[in-house]
Amino acid sequence: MKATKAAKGLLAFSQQEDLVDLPDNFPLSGSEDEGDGDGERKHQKLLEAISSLNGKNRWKIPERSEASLKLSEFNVSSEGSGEKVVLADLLGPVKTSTSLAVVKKQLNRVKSKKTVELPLNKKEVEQINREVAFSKTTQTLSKWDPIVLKNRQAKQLVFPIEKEPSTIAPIEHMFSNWKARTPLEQEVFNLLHKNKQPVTDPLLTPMEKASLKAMSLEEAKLRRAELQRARALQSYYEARARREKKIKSKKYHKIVKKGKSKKALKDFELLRKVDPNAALEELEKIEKARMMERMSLKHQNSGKWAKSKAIMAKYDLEARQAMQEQLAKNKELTQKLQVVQESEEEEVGAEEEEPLVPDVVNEVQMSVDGPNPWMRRSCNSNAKEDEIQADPDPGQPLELVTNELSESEEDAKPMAEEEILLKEFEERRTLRKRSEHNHSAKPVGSQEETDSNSQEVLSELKVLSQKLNKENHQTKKQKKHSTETVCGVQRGEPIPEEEEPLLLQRPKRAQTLEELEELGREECSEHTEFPRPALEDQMERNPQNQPKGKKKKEEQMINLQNLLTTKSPSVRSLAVPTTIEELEDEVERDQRQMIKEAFAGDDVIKEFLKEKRAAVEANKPKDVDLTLPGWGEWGGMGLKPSAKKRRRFLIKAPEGPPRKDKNLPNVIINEKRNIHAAAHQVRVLPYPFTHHQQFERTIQNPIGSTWNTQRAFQKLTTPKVVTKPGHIIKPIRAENVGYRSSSRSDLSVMQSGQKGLSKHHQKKLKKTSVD
Amino acid sequence: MKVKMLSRNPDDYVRETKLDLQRVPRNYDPALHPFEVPREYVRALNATKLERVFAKPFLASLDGHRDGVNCLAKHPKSLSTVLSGACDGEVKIWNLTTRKCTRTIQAHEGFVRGICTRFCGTSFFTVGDDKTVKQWKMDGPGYGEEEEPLHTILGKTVYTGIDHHWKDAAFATCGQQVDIWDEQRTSPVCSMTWGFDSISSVKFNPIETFLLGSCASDRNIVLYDMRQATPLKKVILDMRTNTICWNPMEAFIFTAANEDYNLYTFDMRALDTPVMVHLDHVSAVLDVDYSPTGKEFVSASFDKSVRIFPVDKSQSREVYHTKRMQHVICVKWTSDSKYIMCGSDEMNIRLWKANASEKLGRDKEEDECLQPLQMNSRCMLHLVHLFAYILYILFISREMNRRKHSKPGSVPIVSERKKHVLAVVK
Repeated sequence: MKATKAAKGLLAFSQQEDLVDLPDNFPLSGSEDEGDGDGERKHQKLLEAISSLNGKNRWKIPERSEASLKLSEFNVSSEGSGEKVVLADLLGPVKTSTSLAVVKKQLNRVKSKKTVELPLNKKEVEQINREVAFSKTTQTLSKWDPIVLKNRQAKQLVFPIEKEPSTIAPIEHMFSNWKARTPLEQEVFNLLHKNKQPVTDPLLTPMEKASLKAMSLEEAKLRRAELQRARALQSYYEARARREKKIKSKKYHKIVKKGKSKKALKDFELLRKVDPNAALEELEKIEKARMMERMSLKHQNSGKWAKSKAIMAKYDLEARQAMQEQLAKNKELTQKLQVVQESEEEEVGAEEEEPLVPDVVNEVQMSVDGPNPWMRRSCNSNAKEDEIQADPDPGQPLELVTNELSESEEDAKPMAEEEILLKEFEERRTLRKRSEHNHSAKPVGSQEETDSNSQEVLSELKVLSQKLNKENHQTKKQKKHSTETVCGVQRGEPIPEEEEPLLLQRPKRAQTLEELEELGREECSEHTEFPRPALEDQMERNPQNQPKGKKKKEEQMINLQNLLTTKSPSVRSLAVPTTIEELEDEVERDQRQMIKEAFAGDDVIKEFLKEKRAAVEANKPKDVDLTLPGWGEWGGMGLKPSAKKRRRFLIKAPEGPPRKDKNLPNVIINEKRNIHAAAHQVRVLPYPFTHHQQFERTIQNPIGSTWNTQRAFQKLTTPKVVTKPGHIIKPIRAENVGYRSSSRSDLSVMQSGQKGLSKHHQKKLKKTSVD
Repeated sequence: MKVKMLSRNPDDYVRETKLDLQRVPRNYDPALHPFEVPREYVRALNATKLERVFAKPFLASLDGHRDGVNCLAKHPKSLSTVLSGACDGEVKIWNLTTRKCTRTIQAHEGFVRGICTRFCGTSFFTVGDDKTVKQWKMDGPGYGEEEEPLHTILGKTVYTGIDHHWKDAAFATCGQQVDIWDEQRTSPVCSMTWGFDSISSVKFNPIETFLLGSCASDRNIVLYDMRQATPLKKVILDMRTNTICWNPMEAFIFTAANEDYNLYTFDMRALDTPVMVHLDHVSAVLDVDYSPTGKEFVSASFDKSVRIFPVDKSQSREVYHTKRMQHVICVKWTSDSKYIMCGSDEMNIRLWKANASEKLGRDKEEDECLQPLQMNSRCMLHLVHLFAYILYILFISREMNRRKHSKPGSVPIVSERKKHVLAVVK
């Protein structure tokens, strides 16, 4: 019976859940279940259920057909709404009543709490634990990798690894029990303490530490080298200065000063060219210095010394001169600097102020025009020495000129003819200048020219004059002849003499426009000559494409290029304007050429043939020559055994069997392989070797003591593992190889871990009990 | 008349003392020695042959047990002391220098399954078939005292193996599960199980001492972490593993002695393929022990032989067997790496040299220079142990035949290393 019941139950279960659930869905009171109607109703229900099976809405909403007084609270169902009971629905009516606030709160809290997820089953948890533990262990084990590798590759391992603990105790331990007793020891310790010499482990003074921290070795080296260089330079400089200081010659010092001033000027010039702003600043500085000078009473002949000199001046020529010098210096220092104009307009406007040759020169010429040249020369000769003394101011480059002048003058004096020549030059130049002024259309070119030659003394002079002699100009205009101008005249007058030789020396420099023009003409002539060959070449290459009409234009275009490369007239430059096809042809040709070049050495077939030929040659049996030079005839250097002998003693090798690859042109068959030797050869490359050549090399080198020195033999035959008899070899330890092993024992770790675990468990248990 | 004389510096040829060797001047120019390689080859060959001729590895046999020797243990501090447990429950302590038994204890009823010494060498532990773990003092009892264990722990199940921790006062036993014991307690600190079959041996890692390896009769090797009290990984092989042994120089390497005649060296981080399969035995391998240098290990087999394998070679370097030696059950390499001990079925413990042709005591230098020569010659001669080789070839050829006569692709070529590992369980 039981079995059948169970079977039925199973059947019912398997049919449909709905069917099984049916009795629950119909909460019926027990009294109704009795009687005949029972079976009928059941049947009806069954029918209903079956009918509801196919449709979508399987549930027929049950209705209570009869009213009953007793309603069990356990039979409350949500069937009426067709949904589950939701908490919100229950809370709805509660909201209105204030007395249930506490309950409401609790309910809300419940609502906000999420359901706790099911714990993983034990198996999964264990697996996860194992995996985690395994990864941890692998990590800890990986620290052994380098050591294992090292030991495996080591040429020799010596066991036991643990060395006998060395008896050297750290200094601190030794030191703690020890006291300085003898006076010497005390003294030493005093010294040590004074220098803060640390006695314990890091044996460095604080200073040393700091220095170690401060910079690396390279830095320090660099630094030291720098310092050394600086020191050396300083010493050189000092030595030089001392030497120079000792020189008594006034002339020498003067020259030095002048040199310095000249250099300063040059620098300034350079600066002006390179960085005009900086130059302006420099100028401003000079201006400031001038202002200061003007404000101060220096060089005003108002000092004590000046007054005394003034008294003396009446009688003493030297004193007078000194005073004048002072004044001159004042003048110079307070002279206003003229800012150099760079714009064209200004240049055009101030034609007079901006000549090619400095005004000083002009002045000289003017003055030269006036008075007798002979007179001037005598004047010069008189003034020569005066001038040298009268120009003490170092800052001004004029002195330099004069100095040079004086030297040049000495040469020039005896040669009147030269002077005449020079004069002629000067005249020509003035003429040129005037013409230049007239040619206002081409100021730019001239300007450029001057710029290009600005490094010459000429330009220097020009600028100088611009800077200094503005007053001069004014005085010129007013026809006033101050001492200054006279000085200027005196100074400036011989300049052309000095300058002209320079010009003569370098005749190619395009000094002026004329010369430039001349040069240009020359160039033109050159140009006309150069393009010829190129053109002809071009014509030869593609005569059909070459239009003759373009010739002139092209000439002009090419000029520059031809100038640069006359030897190899480029085809392309000409071809560019003609046709595109040609270009393409060239491109193709180029590519072919390139490919050819790239694969120049890669003639595979030829190489293979060569290789094969070599192989055949190498494998051919060789003739054996048994001739003994000097046997039966004279021998020695340069003497060969006679042909007869050679023929006689030459044993010809027998012709070997035909090669296997004789008729295979694309194959080389190696016939060298010896099958019998294979038995003695190694099949597998032994472990430490990576290439057969390495192995062969080691095998070929004998290791026995017969062929090696004792040392080498010992080295070659060192055993891989050395053990000491009677010594216990312990397993390797972390401490032995420099690792830190955990101080806690495994057992304690385990127990603590377990305790933790158990505590955790206890907590859990407690929690569950509370809940 | 002037007489020219040859004059030599006596320093070049006169010995400083009488005991010095006579100096033999020699020109090492290779041009003067055209046949150096062939000569050396002949020498090396002769040396190899001589080595075989003079190989006399067997040193001594320690007899005294009245049943098969089931387990051996080395003394951690003394080279001359060896402990052995027999199948009749007797434990004997031997002195190797005198080759005498110094002490005999009737430790258990039934087999002595396992024996291990404490790391300090003051006591040792034994487990037996009588479900007990016993701790004994290394020194014998005083006059008139009775032979009694220090502690006895009565367990619920049979213990089949025991090993002591290398640093701590803990030991591990195996049986139905791996138990880790604190020496002070009578119940295990923790017991770890994974699977339900009986575990035949457990070994502590000598370097990373918290690691344990065990092998069970359900063909698997399980690794445990003692600190975290959890098993780590399990590898299932073709057949059952009898014991494992950790390499004392390489923390993650261990070798397993398997029933399928092979030994497998594993890197415990990558268990899916053994690092090396050692092939030479012709019957089940029962025990394995590493040389303390970690370069070689010795294995004892049911085929009545002991073999020495280099760790990185699949073929053995040496086979030791005698006429009377039966199935070798246990083997140990002494901790100075010079000797090997094996205990066998026929109640004897045998002492062997680790290097068969090594001369003991004197004439060391000559020996040293022989070794590399032999190594060279070995490369050239590829001396293969014939028997194992033939077996191997037979095996291979059988497989080849099978492959030849079956559908192409149905018998795939599997490398020897991959063949024997069935699965790795995380």
